[in-house]
Amino acid sequence: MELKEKLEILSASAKYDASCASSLSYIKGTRKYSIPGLCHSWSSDGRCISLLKILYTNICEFDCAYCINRRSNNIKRAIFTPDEICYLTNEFYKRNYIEGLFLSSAIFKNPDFTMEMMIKTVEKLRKVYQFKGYIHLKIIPGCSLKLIDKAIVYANRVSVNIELSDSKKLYDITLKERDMILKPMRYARDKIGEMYEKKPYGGQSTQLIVGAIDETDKEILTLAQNLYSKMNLKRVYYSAFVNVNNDLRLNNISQPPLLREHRLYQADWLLRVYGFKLDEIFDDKTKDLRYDIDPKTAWALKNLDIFPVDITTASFEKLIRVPGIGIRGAKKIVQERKYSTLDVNSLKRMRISLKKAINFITIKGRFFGIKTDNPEKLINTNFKQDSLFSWDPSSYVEANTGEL
Amino acid sequence: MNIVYDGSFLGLISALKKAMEFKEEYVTVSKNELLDENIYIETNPADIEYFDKKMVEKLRILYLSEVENLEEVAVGLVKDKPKAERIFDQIRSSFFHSIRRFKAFLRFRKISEGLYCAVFEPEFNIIEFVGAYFFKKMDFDFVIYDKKRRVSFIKKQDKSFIEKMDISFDKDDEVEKLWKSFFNSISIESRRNSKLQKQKVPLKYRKYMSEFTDNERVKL
Repeated sequence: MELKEKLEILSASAKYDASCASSLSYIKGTRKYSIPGLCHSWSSDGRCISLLKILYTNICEFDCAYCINRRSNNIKRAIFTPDEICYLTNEFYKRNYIEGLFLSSAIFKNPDFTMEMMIKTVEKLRKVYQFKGYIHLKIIPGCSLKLIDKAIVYANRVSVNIELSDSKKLYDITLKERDMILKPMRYARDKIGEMYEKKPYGGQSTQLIVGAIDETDKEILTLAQNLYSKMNLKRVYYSAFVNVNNDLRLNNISQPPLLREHRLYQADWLLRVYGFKLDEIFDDKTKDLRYDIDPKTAWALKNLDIFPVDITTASFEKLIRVPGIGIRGAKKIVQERKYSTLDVNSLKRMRISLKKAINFITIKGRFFGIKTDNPEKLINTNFKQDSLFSWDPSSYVEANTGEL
Repeated sequence: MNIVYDGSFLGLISALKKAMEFKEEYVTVSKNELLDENIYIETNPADIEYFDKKMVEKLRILYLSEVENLEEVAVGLVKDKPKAERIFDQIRSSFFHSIRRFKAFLRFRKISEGLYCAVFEPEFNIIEFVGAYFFKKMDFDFVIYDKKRRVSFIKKQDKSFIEKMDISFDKDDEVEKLWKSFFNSISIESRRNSKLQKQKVPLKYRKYMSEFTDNERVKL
């Protein structure tokens, strides 16, 4: 089989893996350079291409219900040699197509055999081809732990996909025990921790499929929260389920749930970066996120008693909880208010989404939003800049809501 | 009063030093004679000491940006005018934005064993910045050619230089075909989103990006 055909088969097989970040791609002691997630191109689905994302092989022993490469599917199969992968990675890198390699694989023969082939490849890439770029290596579930030692030496990041939050269902549709995934993940965590002193980069991440089985967002995010706190993961990726097999054990959907995926990512950022707790995002009754508004706005509507906050005095921690104000925006506010008096225009200059924020803030005690008893009316006000110049609170309220 | 300089960066510096003798309202700096009283300024490399380092750096970016009214902004800058500062900030941010874009979008082609070549047509004169980045990153010899300005950045072993030089080559690169087929097979049809793609890779950058040019050989 020609290399081109192999590449087509084995990149098409890998495309459902969502993670593509190539942050901090530098290696100590070599040519130092560091660019957080440099994207070299964007494919026609609008996803960033920064790595050569391929499978070592799509010949698989397993028969996972959601996977295009499962044994029972009648598809073209191929397998690379280590040299072919090294050649592609190195030549693509030299032409500035990619930042590095993302190598995953179907389970060929058994987990250890597959993992050994993959490690042999990246070892060759580093040692023989002197490759300085980024390497993300998938850990094959169920492989022996000593192989992971080698994997984290050559790879900048490793990951084991967790796939589903429900371990019983996971077993039903993949015949994979949850421990096949968790054991390597735990081991990699400890090893990376030990190595951290010597190698100030690296880390692991994982991926979850969203919408393949009936799981609530609460279940998914509870798992994610646990993975962050107990497994020290850098990222959890959510991948909207693409129904490639029409397997009866899975949800029969025609379109991948992209909006749900988007909201999960937003909630994930709230947990990971913004310091939100899980019980702030979900109360006892709710099990899913709202898909019509972002999770921070949803939270704010349930906690109207702490709003509005005044942007001229509120702390950084309070500011980042305001809908429409992100980490970057809050930093700018804190910085700029030291030297000048803030007004609506300065917020606009900082590119803060006034549409989202205006009902939750005051500026020097003045409120520019809508006065209403119905929280739902506070979502996405059509905020008109001009009406502020002839500022009259009553007319403003009327003009923007059309009622009251 | 119009101060005429030779169009070089050092010439601009000398002209700006001269301009400091006049009030802003009464002086212009230009490459051409104007219907005004013209002073012809002799370029003097030592004039660069007259401005502090930070200002020279700013003027250099302004000069390389090649914006139409750069002399006007430059006069404003050296005279500490807030309006000129604001305009300069905008120019600077699009200047560096353009550098960032080309770090990702520049594409090399293999010319011969150990020699690679890339072509681009940047809006601003950024070749030294882009060249320096790839000089650090890549360990092979290469030429980066700015087709618009007809200058090349050349890396030869551990040396680099910029030269006025035209290059042209027409060589088929096997790896380019592999890259194209990878690019096409990685995309998920049910998630198609061309609008987002256009926003991320604006059309003006696509001219020399192999994955966006059709299958016929593109002559560089």
